[in-house]
Amino acid sequence: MNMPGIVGSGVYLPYYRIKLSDIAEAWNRNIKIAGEKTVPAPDETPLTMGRNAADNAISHAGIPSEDIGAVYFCSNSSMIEGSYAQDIAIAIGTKPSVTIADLHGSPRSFTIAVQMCLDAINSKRIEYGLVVGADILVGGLGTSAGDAGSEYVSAAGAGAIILGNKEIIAEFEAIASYMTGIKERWRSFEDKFPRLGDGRFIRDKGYINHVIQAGKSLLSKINCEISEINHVILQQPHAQWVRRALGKLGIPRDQIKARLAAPGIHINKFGDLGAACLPVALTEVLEKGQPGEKILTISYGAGGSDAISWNIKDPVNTKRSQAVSIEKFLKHKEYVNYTTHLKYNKVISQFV
Amino acid sequence: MSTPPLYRDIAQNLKFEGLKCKSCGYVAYPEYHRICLKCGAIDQWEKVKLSRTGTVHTYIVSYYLPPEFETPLPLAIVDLDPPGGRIYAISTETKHEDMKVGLRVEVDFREIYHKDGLSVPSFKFKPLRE
Amino acid sequence: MRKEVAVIGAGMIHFGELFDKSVDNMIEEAYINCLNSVDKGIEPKEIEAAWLGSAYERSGASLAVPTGLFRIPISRNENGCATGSDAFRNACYAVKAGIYKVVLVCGVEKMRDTAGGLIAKAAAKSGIEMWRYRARTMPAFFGLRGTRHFHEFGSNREHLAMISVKNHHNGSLYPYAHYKFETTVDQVLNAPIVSWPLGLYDCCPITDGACCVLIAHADVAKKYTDTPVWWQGAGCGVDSWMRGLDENLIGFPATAIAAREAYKMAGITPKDIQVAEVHDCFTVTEMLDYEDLGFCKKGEGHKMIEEGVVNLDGSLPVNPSGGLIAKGHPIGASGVAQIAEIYEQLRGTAGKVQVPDVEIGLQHNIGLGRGATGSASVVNILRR
Repeated sequence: MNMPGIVGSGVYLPYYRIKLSDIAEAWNRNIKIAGEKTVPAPDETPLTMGRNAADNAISHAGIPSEDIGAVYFCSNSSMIEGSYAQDIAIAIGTKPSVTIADLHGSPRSFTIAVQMCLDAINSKRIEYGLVVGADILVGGLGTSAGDAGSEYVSAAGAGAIILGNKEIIAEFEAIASYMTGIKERWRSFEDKFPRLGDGRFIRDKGYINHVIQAGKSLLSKINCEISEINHVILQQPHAQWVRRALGKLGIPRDQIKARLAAPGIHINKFGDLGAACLPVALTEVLEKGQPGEKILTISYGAGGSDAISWNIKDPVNTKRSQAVSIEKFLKHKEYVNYTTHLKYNKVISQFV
Repeated sequence: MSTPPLYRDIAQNLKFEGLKCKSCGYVAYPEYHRICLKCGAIDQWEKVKLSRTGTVHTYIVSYYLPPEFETPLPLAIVDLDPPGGRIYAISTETKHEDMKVGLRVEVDFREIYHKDGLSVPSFKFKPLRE
Repeated sequence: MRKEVAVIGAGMIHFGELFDKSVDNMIEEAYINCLNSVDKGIEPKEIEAAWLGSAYERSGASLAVPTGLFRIPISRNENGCATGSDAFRNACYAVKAGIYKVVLVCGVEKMRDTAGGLIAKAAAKSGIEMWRYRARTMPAFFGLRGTRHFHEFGSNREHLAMISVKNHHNGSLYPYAHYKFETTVDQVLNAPIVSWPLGLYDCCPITDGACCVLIAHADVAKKYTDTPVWWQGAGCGVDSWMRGLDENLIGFPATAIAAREAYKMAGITPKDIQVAEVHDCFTVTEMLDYEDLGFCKKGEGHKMIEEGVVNLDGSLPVNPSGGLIAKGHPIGASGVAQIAEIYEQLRGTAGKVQVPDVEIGLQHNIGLGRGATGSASVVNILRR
């Protein structure tokens, strides 16, 4: 039996950015910090961004949207009751028999949804499935540049992939999951900002531990060394965490800089995109990736990781012209100041 | 909040599709009627996918709006590229000094408003950036 | 000329922010002033029917209660901003048909009780309402035509400013205007922008007001006055820019249609008009009115104000009362107030804004319906 895989992928990123140095200046912090992150426009929501990403994924895939049998929407910023997956399914024109689900809780929901989709395809219940990851993460006021979940990293964006059995550009190979009972980040519906545990604790016992366990377990499953993986894309809550994780995965020190600059690692360009991180990373990789190359994606959230490996296939080249390039979102951008960043993130408002 | 009207207009609000009159070529969006507004033909419609790009035919820039709006807010009447359609366009990400007759624009999916906890998205226009 | 239906009386009230007066208070005042204005007097019981023009008040009973005109047929008319003139037009048809001999027309509107006013509609939500109204305000609807006119014909904000200056000047002399101040082109151009290309002084104020006129069949007109003013005809047109026709965005074909019908019924051409009260909710509207009413060619409206043709001392004074710009625009009352002004002009009783020796006058409204998508226009022509 052929393995299913990615048939198309797409992203949508906001037009606005803020320089991290402007955030530091707003708080009179005398630090030197490079990088920038996305700022959603006041009329953008995870739904609007997610739908746009889905449209781009469908263009790339080149399949009729009526053939999509499942739509899964992954976000930490959706409704408590109600469904955004439903709106996307209607908007793109699926049949009434489509199954929809809204997954939230953590960025790991993206890879969970991928598994659900692969299972549905393998059981022949659906032909194609759409998985959308979209988030508008908002960090606490005055939080530190060194912390995950802070205002320096919390960003907005969306990515979508379509999984199926035909015209696959990246074939699913294997998956390894790992979860423990660590509670390192949460937000109840009374909270405006996420609550996080001690920085080093949640980095090492949370992120690093699970990413490495899942990653190594997968590499052993597919009998590969990390050096054989062309594209290593991880969940990116913080640039320093990613650097550390790459090292612990076994990438030699002199290669880490290159890996951090490779397509798929975008924390310094876009910020922490939450559930959108991996589909955006996958889209970046597939834009330049060549048949035969291996991709390793590792998600993290709610104390768990899924590591998935993919093999890039020939159709990646034939479908390239149908893709909406991520260059579009890098070329056109505008910087806003800190107050506007707060307004656009709905942290401050003239309405109580 | 009254949702039957929203329910009736799901197609227009979420899908950027128009109806083209087979008799005179007029493209209707977002108001769908059986009788063509331009030529009076009855029930002569075919569904068309609207172009995502267009040109500003005329515009204004509003400085006084209810508090929920960010002003100055440009508002245009846009002529969509073939198959056509002349529609109201609420602008987004558009600086008022960049607005002009003839500006090339593209459609984007954005929140139009939220009320009673429900976010209602549909289509707005921004400058076409190549 | 036609001598079938005559205007025999008119009663105005001061237009303005009338917080002290309710709708009923305004109707009472206009009605009583109207009764008292009839040269040879009139008894209320002689009024056989009435038409109420109001956008917000409903049911004929809204006129019956403050006037005591019970047990006669009363219709309430609404047709966007053309409400008042449409009420008048319908009343005239009934009298011309000989069904009623003496009819009252009342236009009234209370606009000023709410702070948000017309802007609140811009927050429209829910279904198709969203597409018709959202983010749009009255100046937006008309401004859209202005921008295109500038683009196609080379007019600009300065022309609009001149119209504002003219109307504020006239309004300073007109007894019932809401705004009596004069202004200059510079002040208008530098006033805060409301909805580019329209600034504060390009817009009419939000105003309360009422006006009543009495009309009588030719058989009985002389019983009330020796100088009746005769209704020559009316026209009405409805159109929509949603039809995808270019001419809807550089003017209002509905006005042209209404005017054509009225001229035809009156047996005259635009050149015969000697004084006109036209719809100027915004300065740009008046500029387009010159073209749509046939006073000049399409695309040359700005030349009329440039050359001073439409000034109080010009060859075709437009809006001697100061127009809606100075009087304000209580929706139902505006059209009737314009009729009242043309009536006074043709009788020579227009005081400080009198245009000398005028015999034929035109009244016009153009309004919005269906959000910005439709427009209804009514034109009435009077002659002595």
